[in-house]
Amino acid sequence: MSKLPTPDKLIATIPAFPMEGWMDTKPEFKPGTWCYPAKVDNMTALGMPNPHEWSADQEDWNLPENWEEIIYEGLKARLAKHRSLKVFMDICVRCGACADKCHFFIGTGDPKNMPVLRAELLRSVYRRDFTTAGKLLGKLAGARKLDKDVIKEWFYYFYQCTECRRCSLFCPYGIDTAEITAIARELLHELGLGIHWIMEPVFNCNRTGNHLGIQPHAFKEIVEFLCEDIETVTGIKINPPFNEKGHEIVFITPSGDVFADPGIYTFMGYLMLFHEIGLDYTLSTYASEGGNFGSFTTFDMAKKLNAKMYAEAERLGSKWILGGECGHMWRVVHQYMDTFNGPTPPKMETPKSPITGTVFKNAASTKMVHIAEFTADLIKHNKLRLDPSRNDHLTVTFHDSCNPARGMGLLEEPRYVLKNVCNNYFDMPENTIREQTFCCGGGSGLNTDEIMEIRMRGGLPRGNALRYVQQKHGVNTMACICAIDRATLPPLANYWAPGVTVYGTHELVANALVMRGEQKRTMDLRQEELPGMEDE
Amino acid sequence: MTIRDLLFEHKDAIIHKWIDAMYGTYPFDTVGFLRSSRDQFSNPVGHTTAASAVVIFDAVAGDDVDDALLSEAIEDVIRIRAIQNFTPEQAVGVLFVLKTVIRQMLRAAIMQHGLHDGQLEVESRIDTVALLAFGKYAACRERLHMMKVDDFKRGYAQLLRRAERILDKPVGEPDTQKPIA
Repeated sequence: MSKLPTPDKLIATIPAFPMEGWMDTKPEFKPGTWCYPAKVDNMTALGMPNPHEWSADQEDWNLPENWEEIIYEGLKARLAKHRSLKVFMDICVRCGACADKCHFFIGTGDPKNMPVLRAELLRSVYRRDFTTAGKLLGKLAGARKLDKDVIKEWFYYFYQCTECRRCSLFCPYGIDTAEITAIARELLHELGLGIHWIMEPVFNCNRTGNHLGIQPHAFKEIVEFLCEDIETVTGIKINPPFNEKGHEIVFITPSGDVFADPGIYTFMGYLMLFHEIGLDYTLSTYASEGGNFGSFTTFDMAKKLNAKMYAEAERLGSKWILGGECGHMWRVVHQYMDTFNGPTPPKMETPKSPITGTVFKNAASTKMVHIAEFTADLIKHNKLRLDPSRNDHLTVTFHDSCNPARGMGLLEEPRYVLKNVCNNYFDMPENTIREQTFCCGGGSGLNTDEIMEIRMRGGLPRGNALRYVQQKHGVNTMACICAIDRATLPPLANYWAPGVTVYGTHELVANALVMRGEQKRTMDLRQEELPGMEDE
Repeated sequence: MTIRDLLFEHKDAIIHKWIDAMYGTYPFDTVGFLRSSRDQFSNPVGHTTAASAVVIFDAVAGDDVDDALLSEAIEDVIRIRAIQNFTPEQAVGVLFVLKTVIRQMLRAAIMQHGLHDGQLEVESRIDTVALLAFGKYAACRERLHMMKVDDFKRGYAQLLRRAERILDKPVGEPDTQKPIA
């Protein structure tokens, strides 16, 4: 028998003043806070180092015997390779400008999710081994000994960073926390610590070309289902070309758009647009995944998966690549592709819109154009017949996906497109959009359902801004240009702003697109009745 | 002097102390941010907690607060706490702390004015708010689990469709049992 605690005692989680410093506070691996480990088979097949069985909730993670040496050598090699990492490790003055800018800090309230402190998890180890002050003064100089708990802490917090780079925007030195996270994850992979949700798509993309490992015949069949749906809605039969040589353009988009709801409607939108303008393009079942989960493991893996785009453009003899609505695909294309796999195959040319004649000089190096730019250009040149009133039942806002927004500055084009295909458009508050956009909470391979709680914490700031425009302007639609967003935003909206539906931008384009020879539209692409346009 | 008068006389101080106690359930290094950042989009947790506390206080003190408004205020706080690093008791229990705060701050005045009956009514209203919060907490957790299932279904929507075409029946239906010979 014991006395019942008072409610105050029952809820007292944390002492008023912490008993230990941050270096001695350990993360707790509760269910819902950590991702399932990668399968040994997948790691082995991909040639990843030290594949082994382990689980984050176990005391022993079965690290390789020489794990300390692996980390030391791994960090040393990366400091030599990436000048940026060396600068990021040395230059931070801990001013705290980034501290409250991270969606995970805002949503979890966990101080170690302040970007400055998350980076400090790696920096403290760097100081001990690679700086004189750290070697001599130890803890006094912010250095600490590497032990197995540090590895666990890295895993916990570097998988609570979506590499969205919002913090970098506020850093006076421009420290790119995403790059720090990327390197920390590389080091964890050196020890055989990867996560299933990332490694399985990497394995599948490497082998069959798309994230679910769907073989070419089935991939084609599924696209044909979508063409049947297009015919139901528009009366127009589309037969998209697959793996055909000699077309001007190869179109590459995330495979989530082919398999996953609501991405499929965006994919239908692409096909309808291409049909209407008579684009000379082909799809590829080999390069059927634009997204690059390799970029969430190692730079080498990112390079390997990225290479198939140029390889396929060369094999098919295409002049340039049109890329679909995707997030991190564009970060890889915009920032790494040229270094990874450039220069492009000799027969590729600077992209030129065959419809408007616009030359996309910004893509002269990568030969890859974002579909939002491509469509904005079509609209600007009045090449599309649009009836935005078909979207009148929708009050739309736009979620700037982190990578296209902060990674490549694609801010105006999607808005321009949306405002031309929808009559009711409202932006979310200024400090939550454009360069300052808040992440969906599931980027960088964290869109797995076992960490739904963590995703909701990370998605809180975005959800909060969405709810604001829902209440203020009656927003019921959130458009985006990213396949991961189309996967992560539906639950986010469901939890934080119930009643808001998520759409890809080109789904809304296709709803408004007046096609030659189409039947009277009574349904949208989801085969839901268009209010005011029902059958008479 | 009624209990309502007394509560409203000390409204700001009570709310301030209660909010502080709610912030106190977060790590020490985070409390300063929750307290000091005023922007509702930069600091949604702090802003929501503070805004909801005012509505809940009014209802508890005995004002006729619109049901929908009160419900939303409770839900706003609970929706956040339901997915943060709290046990169910910690997520919902902060509402009971309001009792403690009122007792601590107004004990002498309640005795002086003989307002014990009124205090009991106030505490019962806090119990009602806590029960409502319990319902909302349960709903949030249930939604969270449904979202996991929905996530899976959405991710494999077209593969399920293909499977249904191949099998010629809805996915998930059991195979027809063969009659036992």
